[in-house]
Amino acid sequence: MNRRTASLMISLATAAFSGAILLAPAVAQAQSSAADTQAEKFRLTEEMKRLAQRNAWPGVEAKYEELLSLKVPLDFDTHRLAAQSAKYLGKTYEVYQRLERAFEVKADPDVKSEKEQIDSKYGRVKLVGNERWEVTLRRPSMPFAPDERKSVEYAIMVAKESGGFTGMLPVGHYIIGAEDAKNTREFDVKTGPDFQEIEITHDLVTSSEGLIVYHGPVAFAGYAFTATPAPTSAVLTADGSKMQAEPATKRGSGVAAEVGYELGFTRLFAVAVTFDYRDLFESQDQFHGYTGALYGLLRPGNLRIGVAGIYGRWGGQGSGVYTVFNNGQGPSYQRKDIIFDGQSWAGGAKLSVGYGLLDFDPLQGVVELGGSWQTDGSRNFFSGGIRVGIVPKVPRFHE
Amino acid sequence: MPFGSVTCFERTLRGLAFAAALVLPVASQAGEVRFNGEGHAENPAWSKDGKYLAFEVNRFEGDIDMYFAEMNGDISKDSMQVKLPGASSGFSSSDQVVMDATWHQDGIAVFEGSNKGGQLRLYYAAPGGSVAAEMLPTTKAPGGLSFPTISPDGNSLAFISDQTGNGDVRTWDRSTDNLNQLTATPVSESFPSYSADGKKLLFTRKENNSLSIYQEDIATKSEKQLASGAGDETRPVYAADGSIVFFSAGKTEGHWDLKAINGDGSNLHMLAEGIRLPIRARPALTPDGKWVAFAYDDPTKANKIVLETIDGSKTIEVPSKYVACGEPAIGLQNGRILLAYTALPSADADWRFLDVVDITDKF
Repeated sequence: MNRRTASLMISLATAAFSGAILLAPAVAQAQSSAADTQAEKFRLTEEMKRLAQRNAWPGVEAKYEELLSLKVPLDFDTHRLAAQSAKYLGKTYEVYQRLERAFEVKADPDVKSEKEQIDSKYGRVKLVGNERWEVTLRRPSMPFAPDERKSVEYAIMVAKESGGFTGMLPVGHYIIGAEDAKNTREFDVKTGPDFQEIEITHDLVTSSEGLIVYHGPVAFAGYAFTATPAPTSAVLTADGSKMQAEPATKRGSGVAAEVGYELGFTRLFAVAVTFDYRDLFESQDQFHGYTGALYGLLRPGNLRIGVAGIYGRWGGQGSGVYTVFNNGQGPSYQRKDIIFDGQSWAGGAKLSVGYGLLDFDPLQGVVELGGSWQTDGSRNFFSGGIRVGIVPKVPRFHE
Repeated sequence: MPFGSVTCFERTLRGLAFAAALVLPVASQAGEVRFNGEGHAENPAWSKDGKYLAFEVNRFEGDIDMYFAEMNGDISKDSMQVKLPGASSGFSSSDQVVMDATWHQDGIAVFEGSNKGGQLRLYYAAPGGSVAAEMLPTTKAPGGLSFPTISPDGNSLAFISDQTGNGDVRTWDRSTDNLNQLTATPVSESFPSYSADGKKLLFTRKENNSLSIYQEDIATKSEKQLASGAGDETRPVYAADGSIVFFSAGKTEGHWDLKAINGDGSNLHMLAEGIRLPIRARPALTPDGKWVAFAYDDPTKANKIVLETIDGSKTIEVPSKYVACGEPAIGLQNGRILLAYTALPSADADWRFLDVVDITDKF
């Protein structure tokens, strides 16, 4: 097996190891029994009720979304409670949808009359804009009823944060555009089953995001396992006159740390520039790697997937040189006793997959698995590990 | 309020009739406002468009239920009970107190409500909705809230808050969502009522063990006493010409009169003596503010509702085939003038019921 093949196999093994770590929970989830799903459904339903008793309506919303993701039938009371939480938050369209689901479970006359009441007072509206825009929605005369007011306030907030709105609004007159704006668009909401679609043009926008949607520091610390197989052929000095005392195959673990800065161009795509340090310790041997990286990042939801080109310096000292090395050693002068001390510059690539777990707005705490490969032309460095860190939080609007 | 003695046989018959009414298809008689259950119907309040009538049912067992009746002229569909959050279901006692409705032109009623033993708060509901919702959250307006009244333009709500302990007048503005405290006295205020332009408020103040009438300029918060005396002057409302109509108790305990004064407090004059004081309503003005309706307390004169112009120059009587008439309320629906009032169907009846009559042709 030549050196290139060995390097490739080790790279694949590292990637497979990282992938297995990431996929294991998903596999376990897929294999969970129906009883587990029912238990989870019961737990979430009870949590919904507890949160509702404390008027913690955003929490009730989150639990209901989790229940829906289980894709199991939910009971009448659960849909009703979810409708109530949506009502408290001003999400009238969601109220209507959840009442419909409740009515499908049980044809309750109160649910029917509540739906009819919404149909008699609200219309369906779709304001089509762009998530990079801040759109001002106004209603010159706010409704008297608190639930209608909340509905309008909710729509105003959604339009401001996400550049558009799809939902239900109380019947009445509305304006897109700030009070002092040069251009505005007025429209009337009427009752009816169809959505009234209104396109928001750029001239109506209050403000829009620049090239950089978000930015912030990146910092990680963790544990890394590094392996650097011995070259299989002689490595000569630059002038080709002598053989270098390349270390034998070394593997060990140590710390890994990375700092840098991330720039997000969209809510999905970002780049980051970082500086990484990691080391390898094995017995008396030690290696230190200092690497710069340029990342391309994908940030869907709480995931952070990065691919980077890397270049840096690996230095090491210890004892034990590769089997190719021949300097007239005898029984009293083993290769394993030959000391090495040197450095090389290596380039390569890096892959990391992380997940945001904690919120430190405007930053986010993440856990990442990653692996890297570098080569100096003669020798490969493979590294993989797990680390925790902070990255900038992607500003997303959650309805 | 007279209660006739009822035999066991009669109770059985009424119980069977009640059960039958629940099961059999309902046919409302013209004029009578029906509801499930039994109790005294009281305090009717018309929506601005005359399409709905809010009223209370009181069994004098500690709970008061509120109903909305949809009116087709003077014919009503069966009434829908208004439930507060946390209401028990079924036809048994609701353990709630729901009362004192005032209507907004958007078709929403605002009223007082509390679960049994709880604090009175303001709620709102629209006919057809299943459960009422709180009008002002406790985070915004803590304490007990009562006596809601809505300005004529529908832009503000006045009410009484006991946050400071005794009952002060406060207003809520719908365009700014701000609360404004108008009075802050150690004594209690009640029965706020807006002027036609929404710039002034009338209210009752209890001081020195009697009730007096005050007027306050909302913008400047300057107030002026308009009526007081040895007895009680209370529940003032503005008439169309700016004069003020109110109930007055003077001569003997339990004896109430209907009086009026000019907007500046002058020209106090009697409109009617010996009237039946409504449970908690203000004087019942017609929608144009030119007439006031009342009933007499004297049983020999209590078989009618009387309407009188504010200046006392004209009187109309609306005779009823029932007895002990009271609690009149006037609504306007598509140009038709509708009178709602409570009465006993007969002298020995247990419960007062609610009747509606079209009195357009009386004018």
